[in-house]
Amino acid sequence: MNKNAEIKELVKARLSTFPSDKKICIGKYGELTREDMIKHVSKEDEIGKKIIEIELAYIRALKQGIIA
Amino acid sequence: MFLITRPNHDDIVYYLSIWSKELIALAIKKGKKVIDLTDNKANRKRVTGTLSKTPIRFVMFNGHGDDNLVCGQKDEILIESPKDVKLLKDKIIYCRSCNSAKKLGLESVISGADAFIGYENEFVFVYNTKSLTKPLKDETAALFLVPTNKIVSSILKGNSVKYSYEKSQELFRQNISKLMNSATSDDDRELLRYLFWDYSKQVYHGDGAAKY
Repeated sequence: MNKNAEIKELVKARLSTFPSDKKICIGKYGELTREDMIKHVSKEDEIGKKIIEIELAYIRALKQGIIA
Repeated sequence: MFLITRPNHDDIVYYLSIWSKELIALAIKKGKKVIDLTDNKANRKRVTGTLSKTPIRFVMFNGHGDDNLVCGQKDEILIESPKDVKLLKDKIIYCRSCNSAKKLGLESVISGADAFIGYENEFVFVYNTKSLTKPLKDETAALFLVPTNKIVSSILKGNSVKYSYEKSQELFRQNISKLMNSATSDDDRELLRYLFWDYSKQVYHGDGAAKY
């Protein structure tokens, strides 16, 4: 598995625990359920890339101790 | 004078609109004259007309946005850079919309706006689908919208842009710390990444000492 595919799978795994009774609003992309987010990440479309970017920014902040 | 736009045509802007009501009430309480453009009044003609003919000092835009623009009802473009930025001259602007701090914010400050507070990437928030009929009771959305409302309430109370921005950042940090606590449910912990995102993408341009 290449690095991009690994990241995609990691993000999808993390999204799978997003609460089912909640939706996320990502600006112009509208409201998304957990299933919507996973679908977009799988397709790696514009929304999927943004979701991956948000996830990676958080992981990076944890790693760098910006949030602890 | 305080101008606020509150489109309400989809769930996202509806939430922002409802959460802005307390800011209007505060402005009135503080003796400010408020121009509240909500629903179909959040249109380009009303906004540009108000900005060009009325001595507005503080503007809050709620709505969808992009690098160089902010939208109103049914996503009509209200203000777009570079052609409209002169309308923001001498004003303090808070744009609760995506991306608009990137170009619209920078260019409005270059063209004479006192300060522009906004987001240099997508503005995100999470809400509870069971709370759609009562957004103000949505504790999930509150984690995102209380810190963003703080900017406006603080400016309305006479504090500087920089102080108000820092207060908002502080509230974001407090919410992040609260969710990192071991007693937090797994569901709430899922919100951390999105809170951190808004916290890290919120910026201001211009004169931090500017006051209403």
